[in-house]
Amino acid sequence: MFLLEPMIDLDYIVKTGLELGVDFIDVRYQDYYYESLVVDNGVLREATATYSSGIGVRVLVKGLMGYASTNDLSRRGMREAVESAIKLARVLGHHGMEQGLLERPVYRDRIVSHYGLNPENVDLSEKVELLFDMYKAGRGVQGISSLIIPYGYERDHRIYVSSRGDYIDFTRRMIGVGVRAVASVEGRYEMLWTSESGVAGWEFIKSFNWLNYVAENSKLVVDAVRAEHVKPGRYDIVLDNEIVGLMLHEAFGHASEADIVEAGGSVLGGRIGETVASPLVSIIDDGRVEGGVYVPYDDEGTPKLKTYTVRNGVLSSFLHSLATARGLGASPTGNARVMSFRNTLLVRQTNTYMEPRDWEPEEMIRDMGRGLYIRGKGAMGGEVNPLTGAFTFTSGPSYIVENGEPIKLVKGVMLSGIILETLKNVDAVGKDLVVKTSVFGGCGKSGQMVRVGDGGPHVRVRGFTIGGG
Amino acid sequence: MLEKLLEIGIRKGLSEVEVYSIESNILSFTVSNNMVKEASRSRITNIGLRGAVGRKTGGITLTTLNIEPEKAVSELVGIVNSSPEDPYWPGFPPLIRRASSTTCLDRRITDISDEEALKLLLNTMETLRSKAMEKHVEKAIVVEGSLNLGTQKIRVLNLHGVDTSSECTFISMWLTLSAESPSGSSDKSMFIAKRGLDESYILKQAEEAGELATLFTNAGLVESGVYDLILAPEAAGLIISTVLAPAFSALNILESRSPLKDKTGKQVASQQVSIIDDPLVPLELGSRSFDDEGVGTYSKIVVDKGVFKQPLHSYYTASRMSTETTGNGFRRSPGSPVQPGVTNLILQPVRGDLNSFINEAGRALVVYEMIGYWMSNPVNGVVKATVSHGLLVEKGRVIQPVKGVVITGNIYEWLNNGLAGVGGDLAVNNGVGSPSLWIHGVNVAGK
Repeated sequence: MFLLEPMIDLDYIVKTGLELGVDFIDVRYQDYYYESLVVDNGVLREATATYSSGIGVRVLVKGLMGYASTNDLSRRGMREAVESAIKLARVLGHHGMEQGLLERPVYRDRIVSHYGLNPENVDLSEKVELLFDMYKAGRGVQGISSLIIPYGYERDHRIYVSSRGDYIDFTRRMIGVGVRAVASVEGRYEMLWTSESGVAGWEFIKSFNWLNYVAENSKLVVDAVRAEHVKPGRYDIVLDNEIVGLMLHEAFGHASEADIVEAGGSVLGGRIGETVASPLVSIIDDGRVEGGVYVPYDDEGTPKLKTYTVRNGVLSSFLHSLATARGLGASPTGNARVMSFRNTLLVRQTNTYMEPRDWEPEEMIRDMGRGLYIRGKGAMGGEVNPLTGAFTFTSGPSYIVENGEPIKLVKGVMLSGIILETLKNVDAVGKDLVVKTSVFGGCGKSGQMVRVGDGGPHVRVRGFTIGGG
Repeated sequence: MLEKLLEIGIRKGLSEVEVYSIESNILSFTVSNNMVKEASRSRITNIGLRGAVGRKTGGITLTTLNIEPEKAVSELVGIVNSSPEDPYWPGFPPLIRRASSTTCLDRRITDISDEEALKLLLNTMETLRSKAMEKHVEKAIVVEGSLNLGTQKIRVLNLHGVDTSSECTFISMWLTLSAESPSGSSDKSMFIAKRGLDESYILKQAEEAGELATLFTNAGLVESGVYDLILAPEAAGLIISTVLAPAFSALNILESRSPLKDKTGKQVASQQVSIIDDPLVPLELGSRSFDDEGVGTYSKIVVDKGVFKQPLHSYYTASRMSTETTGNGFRRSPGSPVQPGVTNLILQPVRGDLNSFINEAGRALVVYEMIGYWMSNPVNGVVKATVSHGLLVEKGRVIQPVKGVVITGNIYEWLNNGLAGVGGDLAVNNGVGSPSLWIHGVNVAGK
């Protein structure tokens, strides 16, 4: 480690703010490390380590909110950040939204996410060797024309302090490996991007059969090249448990973020207590669920609670920061998050998933008779316009279902729905809950990307709009 | 500091060293429900350090000032020595100047006060609202948005004589307006991203968005089928940059991830299609005199009357293809290896505009805004997007507003036999330029 031992007196920043007359001040210190290795068609394209550290300061001055961030961690740099945040809060004047933060108990805690073997102690050559072995295993599959194998590891250490007296020191390690395969058969191309990640250490890598993983996914993309497009239209579908969380994240997750609701930008605004989905649908945001991203506290030091946004089809809660909880008269849920010390707080999801029920996946498909079995492996993501209520997401290679059986592989599709309509058409929810996260990406909002997780059991939805791709 | 890192790198046994630094100073405002929710300022220095020993390479990114330079370079040396050789590695580039240069710095941004920036935002919000109110809506609210503006100082040094530096400005503004009338609510967003601050341009964008904001009340699905598609310039630009920009990358061509592999000099689109990569347009987001390797940039034709003329190169890919770099080497982060990317990618205008296409077409789907378009596939040209703001029109008359339908197709088919018209109404924004496009035979999934 080549960083100077951080002699950062975060209390100095709080004290400086109070001396300068703020009503409230909090500080987010972050010390971040990311290791990226990428083997691209047999060449180590990237071997990069990223080190980042700095502070973000937020102040409230007569109800007006100002932020500043810097990676100059000298006393002068930190003081200038506080002064800058105060000046900006005052600049807002009568144009600024008057805000306050919900009163809550003071929290002081120190948490390190579980890991067995520290990846920072594993020799780089061992990691590179794994990626090259994977490359060889995947490239051996006939029809693969390009293969990228990325490895990612991050250590994200954050300390939160506030003039309320909070002190939360949290470190999370995440690790993962992916496959980005391109197949070419008779002049036609198809691509598949998939990855496996965990909140863990090197033991996560050791416990997984990566050679089988790359071979299976390489075969899948070769099969997908030959597969046909689905005819565009409306279909009954069964979503597998790698994609159902993506749908929920887009269909309800963003629209339930209270900063969007408070702005007047969500179709869910003013609908708490209304039926917004089938009674089979319960949607949860939880920072501690197995398999997901680990978020025990949010970035304003509030414990992340298991939150039902939809319970038995009824909209039951929004996701909150302390400011939105106060503004909308609700309880805090621990969903105020930042991408890094540089950013301002937004209300963000953690792990979004559907509560399981009692159907077996095979039973659900058999009972559907005809439609599509939508698979998540290779899905690119999703997007929503929470104001219009339109949402969309893509799938990986999927199957046409005839006579209750998945009979034919088809290329990945784009699915489109309307927030207040689509989930009313859920008529079966499986029992097979799976939640996943990724060290390679996350959720984007207002220019900030944060790690999230999502999942659920298999779910059946009637009459979904499908674009054929 | 940067020179010192170079010197330490050599002393510690690296055969080549490159340093890239970017200092940014950004002022931001966030909008919520007609009010400015918060203001923020970020001052950050990023340093990227890349090194090589023979054909072994590696890099580190330092978004911290809290470092011991000797140990940082030792870390880099460890990474480099543990890496296998890249058989194609040509070294870092020599000094390559080009005769041309561009303007990427706008004093109106460097000199703006916090108060003046806030006033610009408030004026734009008011213009957006008042234009919608002229359409007799009951309520017009800017529900969300942001203004970001500031400076970026970039410097690139290596041991082959490259030492380039530039200071560029940027401004981005995004605002979403919700308009409520007795028949229902509608909305429209505006987004600009440039290197220059032109208030009259910004207010014109706000006026246009305000005028359009009432068009999408009670939007819904249309029947599934095959439609003529008319893309407004912004929507067309997003599809082109998503699907074509990666396909132009020489690295993707070399590594068989582009359908343009082996297509140089061949017809890949209609003769109506000409595309340039132009870093020299003043004050656009991709305007740069040097790329991230310190190589001089220049304007180049990528597609000329439908013929694919040349891929975009970094020094690495140019070396592999025995040609010269086009000055298109850009990085994901300061310590990352450069890869070919676009500067300002511009589809050249031809004739007509959005309104003339709407009037000429029979039955057509007009698309103003989309979601999910970025999940289109540059490897095979497949376009996928969900329409969030569209109109079904017939002979110039609006039949119904549309949302939630999925449009799919292949960009190369759209720009060949499917192409009915390339407009003359070029709009450049966010480093992408396109006029309106009129395309026959597009699959639409709806009811």
